[in-house]
Amino acid sequence: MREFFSTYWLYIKTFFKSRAEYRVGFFLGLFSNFYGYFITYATFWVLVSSLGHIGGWDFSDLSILYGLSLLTYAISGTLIWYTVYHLGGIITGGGLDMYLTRPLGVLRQMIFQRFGDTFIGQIIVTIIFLSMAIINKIGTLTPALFAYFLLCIIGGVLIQAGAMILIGSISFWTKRSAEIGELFYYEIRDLTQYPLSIFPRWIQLVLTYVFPWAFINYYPALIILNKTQTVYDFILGLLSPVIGILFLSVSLFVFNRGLRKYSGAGN
Amino acid sequence: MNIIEIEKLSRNFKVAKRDGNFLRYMFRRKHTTVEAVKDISFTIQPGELVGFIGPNGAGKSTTIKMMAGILVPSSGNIRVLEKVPYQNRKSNAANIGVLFGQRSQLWWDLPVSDTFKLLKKIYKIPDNIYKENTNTYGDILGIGDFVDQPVRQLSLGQRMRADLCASLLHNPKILFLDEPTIGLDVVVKKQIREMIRGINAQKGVTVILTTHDMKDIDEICQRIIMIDKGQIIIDKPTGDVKNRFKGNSTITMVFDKIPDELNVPQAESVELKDDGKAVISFNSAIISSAVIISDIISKHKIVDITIKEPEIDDIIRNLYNQ
Repeated sequence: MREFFSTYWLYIKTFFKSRAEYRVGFFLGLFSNFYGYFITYATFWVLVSSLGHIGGWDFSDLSILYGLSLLTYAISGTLIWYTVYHLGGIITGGGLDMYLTRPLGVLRQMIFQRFGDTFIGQIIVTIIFLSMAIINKIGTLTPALFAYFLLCIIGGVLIQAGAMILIGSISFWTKRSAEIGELFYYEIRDLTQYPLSIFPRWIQLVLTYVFPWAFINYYPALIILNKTQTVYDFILGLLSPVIGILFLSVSLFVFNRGLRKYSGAGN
Repeated sequence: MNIIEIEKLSRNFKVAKRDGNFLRYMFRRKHTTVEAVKDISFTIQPGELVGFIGPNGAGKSTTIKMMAGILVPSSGNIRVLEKVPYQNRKSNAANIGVLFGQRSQLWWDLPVSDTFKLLKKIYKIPDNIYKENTNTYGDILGIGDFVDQPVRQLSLGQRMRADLCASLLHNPKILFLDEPTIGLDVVVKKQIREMIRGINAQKGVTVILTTHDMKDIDEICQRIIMIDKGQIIIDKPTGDVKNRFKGNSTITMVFDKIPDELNVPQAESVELKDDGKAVISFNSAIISSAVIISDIISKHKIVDITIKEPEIDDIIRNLYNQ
């Protein structure tokens, strides 16, 4: 683990050195991400101020709901979006062969290879809105709530990373997975920007049991905002980190199967 | 001890058949199995310089990838440094250096030295060895002049030298070079070849390379393994292959006065042309050019003589055609 962090740190330093060659591009990328997601928050604000609330959720509630989703997405994206999520291109470009000739795990090398600098913009904008919402709504976090909050962020990161790994792994079989990712990850996950309760029952079930995106933010937000109505809501909320571990394990299993298929051990 | 042992090794790939119209290709694809490598066997000794040749798609890269632990064989046995590479991928990786000529492992926007530092970390190279290797290889490969320039500003030849150095930093026992001279000009090719020989001589590194340039083989390799359609056609010392095809040696003579008849014992063919030229083909392993020439000179008056030994390129072309 120490070895991992010290190597990652060296890679990050090296990455920023190479990024410095294109300073303008770097800052523009950061800014455009910040700006893009700032607009999303502003849209919520406009929506909520004209509607009063969405399904009983005011702007602070929605900021926490969306903030959990965006923060976990950005953290996971910083680690693996540029590499694992785009595995198809790495396979066709011969990059995977290079990883396989080095004495380290493939996934580990992919994390090292590209630090997702552009996600920093999203992290900053989320932290601003998330902190404002917490101060507004909850005041000071009790130690228990704070611990739960952290656990949910970890759980969310694991689910988002799991999704990215799973979608990237599809490339082992199909050579490309961007379209599948767009369809089942981005588009469906976007529904979780709004409280799940406003959707028809079947969508709620799909987002819980088929694509577990509601565990990233909706169920944890229910507990954090004290909005749980049934024991069932409460249990699902507590399960969120567990789901994260399970989902990541499944996706790692699929990734390793894909790797075996690539090298030909599967046939 | 053999450093590499390969026995009845095969590797199949499933490929989609690209026939019929695009709709059928899109929705109802048929797959066929292609045998990229079929039942090949060979062993390699430590310190050998072996060249793999063969037409595109012959199975050279597939064989290298199996030795490097990237691909798992469909059947057969493979041992590299007494271990099965795909079962011990990481420990195998620590013992081999790999260079894909078509793809760089250097960090594009940064000086070569930055990539070296990352490799030092990945391969856990001790400080003293890292220092020693960057110095010796830096000298052999002449990297010192451009070590601080971003890779994107390097010429292809400089980049290839830096990539070669990168693949050697961790003291690999075996070096796999997949088309190390591709796209380089004649001068740089020559440099790279000298460097590969130098590395082999100084450090005893076993070198296995693939190439389409027969000069690479001629100047670097002691042994040729020729693969075609996944099978080994020839596995011989480079000198033997050249000897076997010395039948392609020719002497062209221009006579002062065209002789009515020219009798050259042990020549393979004699061709008399109207402009006073005679082309004599012979096998230089059987009879030397000196014997033929002195025999003819004693009987006829000669204006000019040209002797041509077969180029390895011609030899290989002959082999491919057979």
